[in-house]
Amino acid sequence: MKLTCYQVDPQPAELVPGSPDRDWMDKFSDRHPYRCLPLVVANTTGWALISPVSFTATWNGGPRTEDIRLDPDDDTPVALMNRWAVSHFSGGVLTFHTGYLFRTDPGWDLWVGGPPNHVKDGIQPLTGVVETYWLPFPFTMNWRFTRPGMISFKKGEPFCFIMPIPHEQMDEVQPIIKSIHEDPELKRQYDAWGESRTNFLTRLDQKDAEAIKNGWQRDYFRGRTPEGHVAPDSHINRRRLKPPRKAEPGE
Amino acid sequence: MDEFTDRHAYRCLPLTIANCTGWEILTPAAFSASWNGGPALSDVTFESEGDVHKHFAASMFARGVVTFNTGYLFRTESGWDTWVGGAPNWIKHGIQPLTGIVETSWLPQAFTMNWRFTAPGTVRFEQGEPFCMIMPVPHAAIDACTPVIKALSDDPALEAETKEWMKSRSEFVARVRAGDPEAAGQVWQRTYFAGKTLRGEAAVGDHIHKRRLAPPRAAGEDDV
Repeated sequence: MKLTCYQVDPQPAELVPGSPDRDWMDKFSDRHPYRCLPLVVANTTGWALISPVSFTATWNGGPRTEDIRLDPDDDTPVALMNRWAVSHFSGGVLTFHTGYLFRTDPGWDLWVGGPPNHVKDGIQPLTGVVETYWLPFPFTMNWRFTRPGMISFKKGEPFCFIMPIPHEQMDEVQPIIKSIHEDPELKRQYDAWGESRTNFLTRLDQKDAEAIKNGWQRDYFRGRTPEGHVAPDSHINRRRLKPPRKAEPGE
Repeated sequence: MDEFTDRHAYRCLPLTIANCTGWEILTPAAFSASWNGGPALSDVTFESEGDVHKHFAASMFARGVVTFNTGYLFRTESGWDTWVGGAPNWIKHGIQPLTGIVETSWLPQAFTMNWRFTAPGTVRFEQGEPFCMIMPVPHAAIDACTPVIKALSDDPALEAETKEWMKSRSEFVARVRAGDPEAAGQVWQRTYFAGKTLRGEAAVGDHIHKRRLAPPRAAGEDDV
């Protein structure tokens, strides 16, 4: 799968592989949210665009584009801020340019949204799915205030996250609802997993030395069930996508 | 999106496609959750009629995280994971959905859906409000992808087309602002919505301007 990032701005926003780290996840004792592998994999499944500017946006709650005011922070020059962040769509929507026109292979769209698990109060990222395999026009990244007030973006903060997704396969998916009792082997594995978890938590409660030493069960992280069934070889417990590179001459 | 004049946010096709790209799981009964800002499990509290929330929502992970049980164990075909997050473009103040990618092709355990308060306060989930969206995503295709950065001028045909789009758009916006009745009547450029080039030709054969995924159905005898 190819992703070509055409620069439409001489200095586009920096594009980097999704980072596993999140400030709020660091604040737990033992950084324990990082044990939640699905969060960490989501954080790293896509590329983030990094804000080149620091600014504060204020929305007075009104419906017009003028109802959002942007003020640069720190050492960000006004002119630079205006190149990246604008009030364009009205209704409390803040728009970012990315500086790129993204182009995917046929059969692939781009999912465009906020960086997963990046917690922000007062504004939230909008999400779009774009047919980037043909659209000869750059999209913008948009955020919407969740209520009137002030929010800030800092230089270096991710403001957009892109993830290629299949264009059409979703349309062929037929979800089927089944009782787990109809699949006795899965039911058995499910019960065994639940029991193993309950036992472990009980042992932790009783200050069992080994349980305390282990601290948590690593079954999903290691890609196995408590009974020793293993996940397919392709189990992923660490993802680091490739960093973008410059095109070779003539590529 | 309904509140904009002429519902014009729906003209942004990427938003409406994102809204429809996945299946939502709906809150079974209304409840409110409050966080006092503290780190303990007991710092998140719930209120609902008859404590009905206890069947599906709890404080399990501390530090302002609200956990939902979905009541399902999802199983995808080999090679597919499940992306789990909030319903796209569903605006909620004071709390935000966390996002996970789960190897549902083998995991014999149910995942939970989690939200985190963005600040201390109280939030409410209504009955029927989506608290989770699931979307199958390929397990490993992305790992083989190297983004390549190129100047637009390296591809002159694309550059010409892009410039034409940009010019056409600026002219259109300028005409609307100047009160041109024809531009205002046309209201917006439907080019992307219709999947067309500026010359009015179909850009591709598989453009999607409306997505309605299949509703779940009960398993039949053939569904092994």
